[in-house]
Amino acid sequence: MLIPRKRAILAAHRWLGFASALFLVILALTGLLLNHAAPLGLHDITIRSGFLLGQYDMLGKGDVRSFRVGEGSVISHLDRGLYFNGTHFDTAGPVVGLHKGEAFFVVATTDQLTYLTEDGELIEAVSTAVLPFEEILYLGISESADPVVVSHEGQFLPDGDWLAFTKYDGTFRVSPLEETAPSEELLDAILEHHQGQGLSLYRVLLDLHAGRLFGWGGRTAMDLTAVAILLLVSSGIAGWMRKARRGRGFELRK
Amino acid sequence: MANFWTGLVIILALAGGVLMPLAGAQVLLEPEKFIEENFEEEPEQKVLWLKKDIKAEIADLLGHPYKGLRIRYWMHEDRTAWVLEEIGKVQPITAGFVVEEDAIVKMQVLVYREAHGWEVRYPFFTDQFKGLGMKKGRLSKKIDGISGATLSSNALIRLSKLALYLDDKVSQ
Repeated sequence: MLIPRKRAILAAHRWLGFASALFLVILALTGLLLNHAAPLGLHDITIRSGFLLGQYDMLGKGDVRSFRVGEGSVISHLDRGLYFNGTHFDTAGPVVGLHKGEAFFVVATTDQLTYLTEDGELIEAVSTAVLPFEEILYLGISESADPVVVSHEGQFLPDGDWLAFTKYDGTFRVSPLEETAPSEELLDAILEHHQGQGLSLYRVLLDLHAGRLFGWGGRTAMDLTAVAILLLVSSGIAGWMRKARRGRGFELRK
Repeated sequence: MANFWTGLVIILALAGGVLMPLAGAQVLLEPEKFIEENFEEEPEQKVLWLKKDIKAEIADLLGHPYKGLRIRYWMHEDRTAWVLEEIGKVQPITAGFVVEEDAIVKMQVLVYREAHGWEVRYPFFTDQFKGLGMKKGRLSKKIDGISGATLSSNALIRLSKLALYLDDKVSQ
């Protein structure tokens, strides 16, 4: 059997070991911890680090869009979640219009109309599936100051209760929605709802172990580490065999 | 060659059958169409405001509070139609109910969003609801659930109770 020269084996072994040491340590440590997840309570320990949440595509403060409605009330939207003064009230697409009627607020999103009391209590959420239009573009105001729903299918005038809608061909104007900067307290309340308790330490360790935590690069690094382990084992055995053969030859010569 | 194409068609059909239910929301029938199909004349659209006592009774029926203060429905003479939503496992199922003379005339799944349990949309399950009434909060007949679709079956059973209850409220 052809065995490479000792110096080459040693050099390859040394550099491979050096390059993969950090990853091997991570693999070993995370593997050890994961093997004892239950007694260590890893499922119950949660993490809310912005960096880690970002790795899991969990949205952060910068993704919250907020709009003032009425006096001192704020409607916010984050990842299909709708919030009234930081309290989640429904799930829908992006906000495209707001209207303060006599009896209730109307929040228009691309896929539904949501009616709220002035205290933010949900009156009704009406999907566009039961409305005469499919996608809402924005809310406008007619010449006679009535609200107008502007959709892909045309303009519609709601009745007083926003129950029935009649086609409207008159003129209307649309004022762009003005975003407002929500307070830190409001943002915290929204993120608390959206992110829940955060990520479990078990999940993070498992993904660190597999390299998934750092996406494609992390997975590749862990794959290379696994290959490095195989090479280290082979080069270690090869080095040992060479040493053993030389030792036998030395004994025979003696 | 013919065998190859036959095989390919069968494989694609099977793959489609398996993968289709895994796709997102499946709109089986537009709610607007459901209403149109179940009334000979155009029904009137109305709302039922949910007062505290009604909300409490609905919470008893569903096993959780109902989100919202009013429910819209369609009515013509003694017939009412309801488009209701209830969570199956994690996603809401939208179902249409037509009620007449205290009994369900028709139940149909309109939008199905769950990845599993989509068998509840088939007539062998939905037809069981025909003629169903309610007495003292219990359905007049036992509905056979579908194994593998237990949560979706239960959600639709709860909605059928709700539809009957709401019809009773607006018919009083």
